[in-house]
Amino acid sequence: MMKNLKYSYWTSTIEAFKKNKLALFFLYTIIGLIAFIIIQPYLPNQKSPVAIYIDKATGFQLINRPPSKEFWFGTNSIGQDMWARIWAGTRMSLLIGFTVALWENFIGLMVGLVWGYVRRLEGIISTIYNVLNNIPKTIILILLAYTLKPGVLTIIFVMCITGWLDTARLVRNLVVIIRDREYNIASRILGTPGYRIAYKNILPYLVSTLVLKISLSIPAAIGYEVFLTYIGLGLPVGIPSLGNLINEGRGYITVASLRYQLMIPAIVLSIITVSFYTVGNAFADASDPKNHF
Amino acid sequence: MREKKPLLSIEDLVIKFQLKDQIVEVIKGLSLNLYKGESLAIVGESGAGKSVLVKSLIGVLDKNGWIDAGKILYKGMDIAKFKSEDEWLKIRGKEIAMVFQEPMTALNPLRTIGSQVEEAIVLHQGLRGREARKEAIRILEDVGIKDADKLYKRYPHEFSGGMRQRVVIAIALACKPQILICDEPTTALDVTIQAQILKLLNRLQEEYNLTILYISHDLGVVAKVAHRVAVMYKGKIIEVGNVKDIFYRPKDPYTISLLSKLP
Repeated sequence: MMKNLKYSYWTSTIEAFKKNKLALFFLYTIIGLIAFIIIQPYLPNQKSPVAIYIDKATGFQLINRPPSKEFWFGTNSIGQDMWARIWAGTRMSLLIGFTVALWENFIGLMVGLVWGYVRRLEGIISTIYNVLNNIPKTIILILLAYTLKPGVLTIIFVMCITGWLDTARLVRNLVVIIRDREYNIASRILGTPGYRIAYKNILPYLVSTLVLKISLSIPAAIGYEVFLTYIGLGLPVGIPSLGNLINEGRGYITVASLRYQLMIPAIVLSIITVSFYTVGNAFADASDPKNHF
Repeated sequence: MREKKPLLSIEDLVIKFQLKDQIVEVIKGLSLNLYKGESLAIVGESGAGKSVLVKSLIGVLDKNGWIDAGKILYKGMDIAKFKSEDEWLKIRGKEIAMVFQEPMTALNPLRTIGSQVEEAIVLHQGLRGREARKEAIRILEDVGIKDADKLYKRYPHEFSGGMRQRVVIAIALACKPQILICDEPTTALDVTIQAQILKLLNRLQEEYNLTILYISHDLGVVAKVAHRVAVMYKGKIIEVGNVKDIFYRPKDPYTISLLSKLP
C-alpha cells in the first residue's frame, strides 16, 4: 500500500518496461543504431554512398571487391562502397518508416475518433472504410506507385494512403467500447462538450494501443519499402535504401563469394524489425496498468 | 418553503419508443411540477418509466425514443423541443445536474479525483488554475472528504464506495446546478453509508438552496429525504402529495399495495 501512495502512470510504465531485459537490450540497439546512422557520415575516412570508385593503377572500376581494409563491407557490382551505402540506406529506410508510421497512425486516430464518437457520421465512414478495405492493399500500392513519379515522397504517400485504415478501425472499436461507460455519460450529462470527452476521457485509453501500433508500423513500412523496391516500383536505383540494396544483392544469392551483398543489408533489416517488434510489444505490456503491481 | 410558481413544469408528456415491429408508449401523458427548494421523490416499481422520465429532462433518451407530445417548461424554455447538443449544453450541468446510482463506474478510473472535480469547476464556473483547485478542495471537504488537499491526487480505485459517491456528488455540485437529480443515489451502498449520504444530501440542499429530484424504489430512503412524493405507475403519476399524506393516508389502491409491501 505504501508503494501506491505516489502512483504515477508513466513512472510505473517505465518501471515495468525496465524489468524486461530483452526489450531493454533491443531498445538500446535501436537508440545506438539511430545515433550511429546520424553521426556516421561525419566520421573520419567515410566514403560517399553513391560515388563509383576506380582502381588508379588500371583505370577499371573496383567492382565486387570482398570486404577489406579499404572497403569495410566490400563494393558492389559497379564499384560503390557497401559500408557507406548500407548506412545511407538504413537512414533512408528508417526515415520512411518513422514518417509513414506517424502519419498513418495520426490520420487513423483522427478518423477513428470521429468514426466512433460522432454517431451521425458512423454510416458514411463505415461505407468508405468498407469500400477502401475491400480493394487489396497491394493493388492500390502498385497502381499509385506506377502512376506517380518514383521518389521518397511518393512512397511515403502511397503507404500512408492505405495504412490508416487498420488504425482507424482499431481506434473506432476502442472508442465504441469506452464512450458508453457510465462516467462518460455522466460527464456528458453534466455538460461536458463532446470534443473534451474525446480528448480527456477517451484518448488516454488509446495510448498503449497506439504506441504498439506505431512501433509495429515502422518495421512494416520498412518491409513494404523493401517489397515495393524489390518488385521494381519503389525508390529509383539512385537512392540507396535497404530495399534497393537487397534488390541489388538478390542477384548474387547463388554466388558464395558475393553473397555478402545480400546478407549484410538483410541482417540490418532483420535487426531493425526484431528490435522494434520486441520493444513495441514490451511497451504495450508495460503500459497496461494491470502489470504495474 | 414552496413558491407558487413551479421551477420545472412537465405538462402532458408523452414519450414513445420504437421497437423492432411496434411503437411503445412509455410515458403516457404525465404532468408534474417541481418547486424551488423542495425535494420531490418519484417512486414506482421497475419499468414504471422513472429513468426514461429523468433521461428526457437532460436529453439523453436512447436513440429509439422520442418525446411525442407535451411540454417541459424550465425558465421560459420548452426543453421538450430541444434538438441539438448545443441547446442541451446550456441546460446540462449548469441548470440540471445528476448524481448516478453506481459510484463504481461513474468516475473515470484513469484520472485523479481532484482533476475530475476541477474539470466541472473550470467548465461551469469559469475559474482557472489555483482558484479552481481551491474551489474543488472546498467542495470536496463540504461533501465530507477530510484532508481533501492530500487526497486530491488519488485515483478512484483508492476510495471506498461511500467516498466515491461523495466525489460524484461533489462533481454535480461543482456545476452549481439549480436542480439536482439523484437516480437511486444509495442503492449501491451499504446501510450505514446510505444514512450518511442521505444526511449529506439533506444538508447540502439547505446549504446550496438546491431543488432535488429523487428517483427511488426504496420507500425507506424516500421517507428520510423527500418533502413530497410522486407515485408513478405504468408511465403515469397516479398520486402526488406530502410524504406524510402518502405514507399515512394513501388514496390510490396502487399506493396502498406498494406501501403494504414494505417489510
